[in-house]
Amino acid sequence: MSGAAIMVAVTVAAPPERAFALFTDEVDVWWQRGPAYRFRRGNDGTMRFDPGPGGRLVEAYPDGTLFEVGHIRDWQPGRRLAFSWRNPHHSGDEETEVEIEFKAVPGGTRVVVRHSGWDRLNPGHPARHALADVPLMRMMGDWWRGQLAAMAGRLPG
Amino acid sequence: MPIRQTIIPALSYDDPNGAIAFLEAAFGFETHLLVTDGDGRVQHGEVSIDGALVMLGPAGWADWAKSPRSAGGANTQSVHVEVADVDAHCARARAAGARIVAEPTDQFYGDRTYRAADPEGHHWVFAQHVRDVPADEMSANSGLKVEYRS
Repeated sequence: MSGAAIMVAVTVAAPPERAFALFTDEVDVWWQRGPAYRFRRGNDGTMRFDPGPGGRLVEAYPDGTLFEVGHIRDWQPGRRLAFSWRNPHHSGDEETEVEIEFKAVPGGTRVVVRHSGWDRLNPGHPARHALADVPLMRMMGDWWRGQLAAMAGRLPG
Repeated sequence: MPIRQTIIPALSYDDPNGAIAFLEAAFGFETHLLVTDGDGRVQHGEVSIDGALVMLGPAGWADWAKSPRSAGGANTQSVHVEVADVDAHCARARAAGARIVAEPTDQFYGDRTYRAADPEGHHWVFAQHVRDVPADEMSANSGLKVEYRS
């Protein structure tokens, strides 16, 4: 049992080190705004990775509060990034997992996102939007595709 | 009227996970979306080649959605894919275990094509445009009346 998962990939026109830096250093630039994309309504937060092993992904708000999206599980610049992910309405044991691989390919870097762990959310959980696993994953796939297209759009070509 | 590539074939497989691995290894597709269920089985996949898309998923979700393997090998459609180097593409497909149904051959309409069957018996045509052929020459070479509009 691997749990329901989504895998989405995009090729960006940059070498893996640059693609990794784009994903991490510039997350606030490409991560789209709107209720579906940022973690709290209002969309006034700033996203950032506190880098390195033991680091985290956070969204910080102008009132000084902060939402911790997740913890960095793996930090290998230019190769692999993994972090846990929860929404504000997830309880402590409802973390999902995001793994990103950066692979050099002709023309740039293949960025492959895998998002799993959805089986930790009970069937009635609001994050499921009353959807069964497969339609939920399709929705998340579209969501990630929009994100990765926005990220890839930061680069020429 | 310009042609827009907005028609996307969607194929049914008994083993969609295996199909994706094959399409990558043999035909050079790149996977860019996978939706997998709690057992790790692909429920929806999208693979692309040179920006063109093919969708695939498990057979059996509807009674008409069958793999050719469970339909006596019948195909009611085949997928036609344009590639840059059809001979090299064929060699790769053969090396990866594709059954070559028709070897690369120059066609009267100016494409060089080959046909291959994947492990479940879907037929694929891969084509490289090698020569512009006027309609009257196509007609003369084929014995058919050829008309086209661009």
